[in-house]
Amino acid sequence: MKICLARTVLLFLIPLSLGYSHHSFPGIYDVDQQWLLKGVVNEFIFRNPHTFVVLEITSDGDTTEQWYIEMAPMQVLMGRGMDKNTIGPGDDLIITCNPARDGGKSCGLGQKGGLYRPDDQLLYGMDPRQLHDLLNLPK
Amino acid sequence: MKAAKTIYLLVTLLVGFGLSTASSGQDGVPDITGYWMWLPHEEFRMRLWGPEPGEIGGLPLNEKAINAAMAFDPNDYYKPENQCRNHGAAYVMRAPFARQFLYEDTDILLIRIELEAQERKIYLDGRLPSSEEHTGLGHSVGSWESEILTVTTTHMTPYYHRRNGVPYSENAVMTEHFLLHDSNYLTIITKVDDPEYLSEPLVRSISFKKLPDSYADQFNFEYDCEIIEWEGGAPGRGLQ
Repeated sequence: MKICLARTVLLFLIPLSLGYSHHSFPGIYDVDQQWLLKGVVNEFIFRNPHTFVVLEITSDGDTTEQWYIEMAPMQVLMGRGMDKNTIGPGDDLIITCNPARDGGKSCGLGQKGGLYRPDDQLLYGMDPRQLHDLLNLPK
Repeated sequence: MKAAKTIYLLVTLLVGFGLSTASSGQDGVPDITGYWMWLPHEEFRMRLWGPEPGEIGGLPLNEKAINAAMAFDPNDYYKPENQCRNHGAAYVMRAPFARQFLYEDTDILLIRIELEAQERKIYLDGRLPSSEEHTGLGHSVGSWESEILTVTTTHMTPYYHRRNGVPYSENAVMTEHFLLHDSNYLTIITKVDDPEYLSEPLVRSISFKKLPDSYADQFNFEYDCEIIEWEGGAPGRGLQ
């Protein structure tokens, strides 16, 4: 019984730890804005203190921009079954994130953030169905 | 890789067992050994996500500390010298994830902090620091008084009470009282004295819940940190 209780607590607490960042997340990112980015992976930087997806985003037909998507430390991603090979160059991704406060081309995976394949497969973060509802996006 | 992990876990278990056995020598004091998971019951948002810039309410700060916090640039964390700088002693116990408490011997209690794989040493024999050098975790001496472990930490390098630049100085002195509730919950009451930045001592508490010993399989005490020289000082800032 004790073990069951402990496991219950553990299951509850580990997801709470998923958003942890070494720096203050709201210090860098505007948590009042939620963005949806679509692009192709240039690089997956799987390292501490933070992991990054470098995303090539094409807008206005042919203009491309490189964006840095900041995520939790390695051990947090590993706790969700991710490793350095989960994402690779050329992968199409859809990302919901909070933009940098200072206008830099970076976006952080915050409390409502998520990392998805185009088929809605959740790689990390919030369930896309919840997010689509939240943002009133087409499904 | 799998074999290496298995060996690592085995060694961790064996070492952990051996060190825990040493705890049986701590007669007459509560058994604080084992794995403890943080409870986010206090300051959840600030401890997990972090404070907003300038969010300094509730802390007894003097003018110097307020000025320092208001001038803090969050992008400082991206500077090469800060990226792999671990959280300091007066902050790190408030961070998420698990802790492992175990005795290295009868004179030294270890607190292994899963985040950043930091290891605090609590000297129970009252020894003085071997040098005047200051470190992130400082020098900690502790003693059991009745059922409470009291730990005093000095010789810390400057760091932050909050991750928005609320500072503490190298002269800060932290006193922690560790107390168990029916062996399943651990509360640490912390007092920091630091006249350089505080108008009165900063007193706070944090709590943990005991985990089963099987958590050893999940306890992640490996941490490598890689420094990146960000163009423009932070990710995405130097791009056109």
